[in-house]
Amino acid sequence: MKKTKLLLAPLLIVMGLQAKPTEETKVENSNIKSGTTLGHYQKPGAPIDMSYDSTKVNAGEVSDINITLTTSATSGTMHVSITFDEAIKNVNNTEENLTFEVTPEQRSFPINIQASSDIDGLHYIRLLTKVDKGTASKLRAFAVPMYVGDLKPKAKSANIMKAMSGENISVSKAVETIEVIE
Amino acid sequence: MQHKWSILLLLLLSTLSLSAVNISGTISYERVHPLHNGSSTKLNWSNISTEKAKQVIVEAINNSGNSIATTSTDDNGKYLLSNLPSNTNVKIRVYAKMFKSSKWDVKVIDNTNANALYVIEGDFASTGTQNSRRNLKTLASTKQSPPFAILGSIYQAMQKVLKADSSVVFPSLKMNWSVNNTESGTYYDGNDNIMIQGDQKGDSDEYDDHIMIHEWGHYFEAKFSRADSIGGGHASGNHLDIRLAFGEGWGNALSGMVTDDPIYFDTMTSAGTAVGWNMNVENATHDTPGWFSEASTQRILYNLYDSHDDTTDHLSLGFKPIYEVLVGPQKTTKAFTSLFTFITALKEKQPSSTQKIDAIVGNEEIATIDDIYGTNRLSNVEAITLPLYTPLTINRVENNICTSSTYGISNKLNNHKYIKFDINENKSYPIEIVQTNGRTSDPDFAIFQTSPFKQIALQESGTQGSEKATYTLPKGSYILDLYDIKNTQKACFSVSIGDKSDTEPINNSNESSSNSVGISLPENKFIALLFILGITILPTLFIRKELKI
Repeated sequence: MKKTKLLLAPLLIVMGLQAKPTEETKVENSNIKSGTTLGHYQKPGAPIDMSYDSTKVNAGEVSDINITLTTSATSGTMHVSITFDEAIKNVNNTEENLTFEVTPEQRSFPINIQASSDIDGLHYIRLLTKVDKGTASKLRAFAVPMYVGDLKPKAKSANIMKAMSGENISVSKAVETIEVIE
Repeated sequence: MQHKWSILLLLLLSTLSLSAVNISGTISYERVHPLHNGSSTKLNWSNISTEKAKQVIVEAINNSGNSIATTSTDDNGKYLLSNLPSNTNVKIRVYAKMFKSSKWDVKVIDNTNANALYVIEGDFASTGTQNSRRNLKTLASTKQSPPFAILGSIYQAMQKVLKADSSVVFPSLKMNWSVNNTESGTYYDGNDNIMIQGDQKGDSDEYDDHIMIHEWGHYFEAKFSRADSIGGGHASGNHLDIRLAFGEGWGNALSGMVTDDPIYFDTMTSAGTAVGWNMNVENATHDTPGWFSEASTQRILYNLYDSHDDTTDHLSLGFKPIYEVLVGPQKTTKAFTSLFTFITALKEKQPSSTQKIDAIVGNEEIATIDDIYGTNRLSNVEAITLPLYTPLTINRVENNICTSSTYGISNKLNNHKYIKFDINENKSYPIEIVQTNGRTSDPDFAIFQTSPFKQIALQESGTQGSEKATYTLPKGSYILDLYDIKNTQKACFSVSIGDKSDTEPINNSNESSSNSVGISLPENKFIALLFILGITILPTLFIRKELKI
């Protein structure tokens, strides 16, 4: 038995070495919504990406919203202007105009917002950003969602109809003038 | 008798004229124009013009909801629906769609609401007994105009191409716009969709025609040329992967070419205030110029096109020569699409303009471009950058091919390294990439055959510090794209294709490889097993002898 164990041990060690490490088991919290612009297609603008986690809450509860702004710039000053949808209360009085100094070592900047709303629905916190390097600066705008209450799937709008082709059409009234041609 | 026939004929004619009438008119939309102030731009709601909706579909709809006549507006926004029944209630419906058989098929849909096609309508009214005119117009203030403004920009871009080549047929394209597109961003999806921001309290792009045309430029590259761009975030001052730099510079330059207006702009709203920015694609301040710069690329392309001479730009090629390179040699080039492939091909097609092309390129601090691989670059970038394409000999090991995150991650210069090699014998080849300065990276690779150019393999196993695979490769030329998805600060690799029988390693650059850190086991599994057997069994044999087991 001992001989068997001694012979098996190195085999088991080698098998262990070949095994890939298991991924950390992540416990997903369905109340936390997250998003990122990292790696996504982007139109020209400020060299800034945004990631966020936004805790879904009920009306009146405080949502913990964590935003990270990351720039590929290695110098300059990042300016951030924050605006809240009317229905949102900025509970922890996050400054609405922030500046961060960008260095090669410091290119990611966290922003924490505690917010609440008395109105169910999807609300937005908007950020307007730029990196100022003393020359003309491009801007980039972001919108971070805040989820409040039960978000029922949107019913098809009343103005959605079917064309003869079967295609959905979204109809609105135009300004029209009619005249008889003599 | 003849008199009776005349009366009958007259009666017949008058009946016919009573039974059919025409409705004609003009379809128009309001466009809000930008106001530029230095490098800032905002939408100027005091400057709204009425534009003609060109080539959009118009229908007459009866009380049953059926279309009884259909047509398209012309380039003046005019339409004519003929032979409609008289004294019949109809309404005019206009679709945010341009369709011409074997030419174009572009529509604007609400991607947040059942992908519904945007439509405007007039009211039901009787066709009467005489021809009538019904003009329909959308107002910017009611948010009806955006779909037609978007189509207007796209139509302008298509016309630019058709002037260069009237035989072009544009594959179908969907423009996805909604006021609820708050987080989507504005981008081309690589297939047949362009997503467009429509957040009225933040960023909306419906009136930013240069942005529409920029994104359409990516569609054009994908459908008519070749776009090897790896996408992702980018900005003018970045050192970008050369494929990305060209694709983004092209989109920016095209927006200036199509509108003949070099001021690219992006408007948005913040706290209820109109804001935005602009850049001059012709002559903006040279922030980090070079062959890795989208800004340099846009300036070069635009200056090749425009008729405005300046210090180093004495060339006015117009659009057609640029178009012909893109749909010709750029599409079939054997290197990744970049400024190098474009300029090399342009100089071959326009030999009499070589000096002027070199002058425009040189103004961006770019050494004369002589080939598709960017050979003979100036050493104004980090040392590991050059050569851009490392030649690799089969059965030999190339050392010190290094990636880095010096200029950023995922799509910046030196995040990807290109290795070119030739196969002379159709057989299986083991490919091995091993990090030589630790095990901090996760190297992956893609293989591209170069004729025709296409990706034929992708290896992303997740193995720390190395990547290996075996592929059967026919005779031909190839490029291997090596990248580290962990974006290690600096990772250097040895690369081999083949059996390494010619084992004298080649040091590719001036960088010296550092030794591995810590204990590293042999890569070969069999040798590893013997190693472990050795360190476990030998001592136990010794102990057994001592204990007399």
